[in-house]
Amino acid sequence: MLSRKFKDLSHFRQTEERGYRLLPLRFTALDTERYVVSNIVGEYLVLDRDVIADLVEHRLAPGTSLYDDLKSKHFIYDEDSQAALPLLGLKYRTKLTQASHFTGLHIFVVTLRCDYSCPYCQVSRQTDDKIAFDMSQETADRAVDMVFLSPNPSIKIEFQGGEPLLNFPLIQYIVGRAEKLNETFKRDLRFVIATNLSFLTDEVIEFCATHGVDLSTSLDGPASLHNKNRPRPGKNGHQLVVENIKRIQRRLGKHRVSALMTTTLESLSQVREIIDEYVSLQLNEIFLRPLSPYGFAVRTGQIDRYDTDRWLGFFKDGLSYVLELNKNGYPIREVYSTIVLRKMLTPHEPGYVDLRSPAGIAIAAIVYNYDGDVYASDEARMLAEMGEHKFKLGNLHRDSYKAMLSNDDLMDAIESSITVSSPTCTDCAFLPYCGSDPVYHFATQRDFVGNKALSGYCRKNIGIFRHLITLMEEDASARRTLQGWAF
Amino acid sequence: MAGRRIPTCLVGESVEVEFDESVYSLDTIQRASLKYSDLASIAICHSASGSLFAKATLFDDAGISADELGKVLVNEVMDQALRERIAEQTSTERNLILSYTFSRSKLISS
Amino acid sequence: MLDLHARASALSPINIQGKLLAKVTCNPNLPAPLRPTSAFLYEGQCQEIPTGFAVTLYRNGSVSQKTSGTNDIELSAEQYFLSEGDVVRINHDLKVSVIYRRNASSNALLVTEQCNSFCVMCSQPPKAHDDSYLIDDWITAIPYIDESCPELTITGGEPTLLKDKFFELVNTMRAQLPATAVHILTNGRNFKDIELARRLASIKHPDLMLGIPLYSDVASIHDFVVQADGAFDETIDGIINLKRYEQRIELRVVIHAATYERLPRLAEFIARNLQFIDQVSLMGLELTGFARANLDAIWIDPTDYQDQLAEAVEILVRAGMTPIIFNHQLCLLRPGLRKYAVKSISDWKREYMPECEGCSEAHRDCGGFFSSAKHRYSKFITPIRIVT
Repeated sequence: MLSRKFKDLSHFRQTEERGYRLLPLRFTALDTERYVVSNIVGEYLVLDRDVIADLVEHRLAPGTSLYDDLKSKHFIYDEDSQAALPLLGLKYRTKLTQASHFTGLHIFVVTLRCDYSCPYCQVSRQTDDKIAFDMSQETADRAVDMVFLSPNPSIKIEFQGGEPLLNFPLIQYIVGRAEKLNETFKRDLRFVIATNLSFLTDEVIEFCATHGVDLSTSLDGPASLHNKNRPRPGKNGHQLVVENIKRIQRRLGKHRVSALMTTTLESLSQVREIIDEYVSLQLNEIFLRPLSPYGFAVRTGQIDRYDTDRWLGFFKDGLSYVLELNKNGYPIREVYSTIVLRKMLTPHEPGYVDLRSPAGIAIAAIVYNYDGDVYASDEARMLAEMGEHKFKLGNLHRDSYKAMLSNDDLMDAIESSITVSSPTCTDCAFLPYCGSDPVYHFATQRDFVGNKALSGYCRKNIGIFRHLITLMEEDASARRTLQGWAF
Repeated sequence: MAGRRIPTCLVGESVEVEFDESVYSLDTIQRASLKYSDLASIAICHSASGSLFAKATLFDDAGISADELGKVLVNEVMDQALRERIAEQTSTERNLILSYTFSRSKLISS
Repeated sequence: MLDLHARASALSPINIQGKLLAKVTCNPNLPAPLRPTSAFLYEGQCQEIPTGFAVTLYRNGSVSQKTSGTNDIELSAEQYFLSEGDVVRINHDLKVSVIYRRNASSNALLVTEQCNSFCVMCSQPPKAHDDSYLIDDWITAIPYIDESCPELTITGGEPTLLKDKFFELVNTMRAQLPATAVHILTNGRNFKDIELARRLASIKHPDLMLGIPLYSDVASIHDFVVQADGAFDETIDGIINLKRYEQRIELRVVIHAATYERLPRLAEFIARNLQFIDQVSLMGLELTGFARANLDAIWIDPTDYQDQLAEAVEILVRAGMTPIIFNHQLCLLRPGLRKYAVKSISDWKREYMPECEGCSEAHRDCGGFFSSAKHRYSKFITPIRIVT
């Protein structure tokens, strides 16, 4: 025992005997037996339902490791210590700081012309009419000016289309102009071209080498799937993409090219084959993307719960395969999970556009269309192609930056997208990991917020959060891998 | 342009659950019911004797029985009541935490 | 072990008023203006003993039969290590304190023995008496220290109890030793008053790090270890205030029976709440002072907490924080943890045990033991042999 002059632990535990107070917390079912309890910055614990009742009814006794954990992770506090309050304040500020940086992702649609005719694409045109469907230099000038009006210290300019390499001269022009302006603004400036790689010439590769431009392409899976999803005259899309990915890896480096998949109903039964395709190209990231609702749901007004559940099966199977690959020595991460895990396990906020509250529309990402129209997001542009112009902010040739970003509809959408004040979201334990998607909800329910019970966005996200937490609770090896992705 | 989800069949099985209004408020029951709007149409009324009850009519593609929905609804109402207690108990702390978050004190860069 | 405090004997009449400070030199031709603040160390390098020095030091002086005439003193054998550039304080009664050693792996400035905490394992037990002369002595001694000294540690007791004098010392170090890094060991509690943090920052010392102990993620357990109610909250407030003024912070955790179990939870707490700090030090017990008095209550064989240590290190490394392991013998650490260990026991306190015979790491990368470890150390000390 301690020598005489010292008091033992029970003396210091005395104040804990006087009862505890709750800190703001939310709880939601994880499965039929367990619940997830989270605090305002997303630190969580998995507890049985009766423990939660005991917690709320102040029946928990101090001096147990459960009590200590609840105190340490800031679910409760007592007279012994009030440090939780300033610490939570600091942590919440850290999470919110990302949002205060404003628009970081600037998408330039340099042309609508494209050599492909993908059935799910809303925007491209098979045409040679450059005048009608290419961005002009004048539009580009105004757009680049607007980019630097955003205060964000990190700026990413992404070239999209159609097929952006069909207007490569304008890409060169925009990169040059942005670099020149950046001599004054001194931001962390990055470029990426989202391209199908059909027109990847040596000149393009050299340019990317000189200016540090990254490339992002579509790879939907093995040849049969990819070519079916993404038809091209010559029917050799897959072969072209694979060859060119390897070419970029050789010439520029492995980390200079990334691939994204578009998930169609055909993809749902082939997740392992799709992942194998990525592994065969030595890619270390795969983004298991959700089914896009815009074609299907917007046209018919149906949110198909069945499809969301099928997609969740696809996701879980894919993630399981990815974890298996990691276990067997091939490092590869699933991108969406990584973003979510970063929110769950670290003090930081990754800032991914689609998982933000308030929503990332305009305030995280913005789209400058070939014709000078400015949209609050990529999806907003797609919606406009289908006749719904709700999220068009204005036009570069007509409207000022200020007018475009204080557009009434935009303000309404952003305001209503604050999840802490949205019904159903406000009570949800997964709120700190989730976001808003007013464009999606408007497209599917004609309401910025929507009824979350009817929302495929909600159903999908909750499915993913529950799955990741369950994996971490039950599978030690999976937990280690997932934790490694988060940081 | 498309409208809200239209349930394919309104008249399926139904279940009625009675709630003691001194324990569970109308607001609590409404919030709980909202969670199941994809499975059932839920109406909340006062009975002749004055107690609150929720009448839930399942959509035909709900995939669960009326009994099961009744149980799940009761559990959710109880959970919702617990949430309201938490909100009441923690409103002071929430304000304190937010005042730290938005205070003008020097930022800590990480 | 080397003895930093020992009594010398007189070889000639002594004329010391109270105490004096002197910088040791072996140079008999040291310019005259520098001699009154220097101690000449005679090693047979000259025929005549030079005059004008504050004191002249001899090893085995009775043999030489030469003196300067006044203030010639013979060092005790434990202080024969003295060499060029060292700084000594000599009292009128010939107690010689070596306060700075140029060749030491580290040099510490003990500025007070008073403390507002009372840690169960404290290696420097607090004393309540007025020892304000200590910091005054140090403020005066700073100019004697080499400008090339890479680092100095301010320690106690609790240095911030000295208030104005504490800031004066730090400022003196900035002014006189601008190239010397300063490591301040403090419990951080007084920095709950943000004005102290502001004052420290306003000194604008170019290379300052505060080493602050945090023993648990649970306030009552931390308070128990430091034996002070409310200490955890004060320490956290202090850390936040210091960071508001952009001071560099090292969190220090001593691992023993009261702190090892929740070590991984503490690591998570740090990674989630204090990710802005600069370093985390995980330290083994030094068995002196209270640690010895409380040995039975707080001793745990390091072999028995390797799981917790490994998990804590993994959590911190993953979060991008730099964990460093101090005061652990390499053979007790799992191989994967050894790269985080540094050789940290000050050379004058470092020893090896009989079991270390034949170990390839002893005297090389392994930090050895505190001399105090002879009271108790792990049953599992095993030589590491390089397999050829």
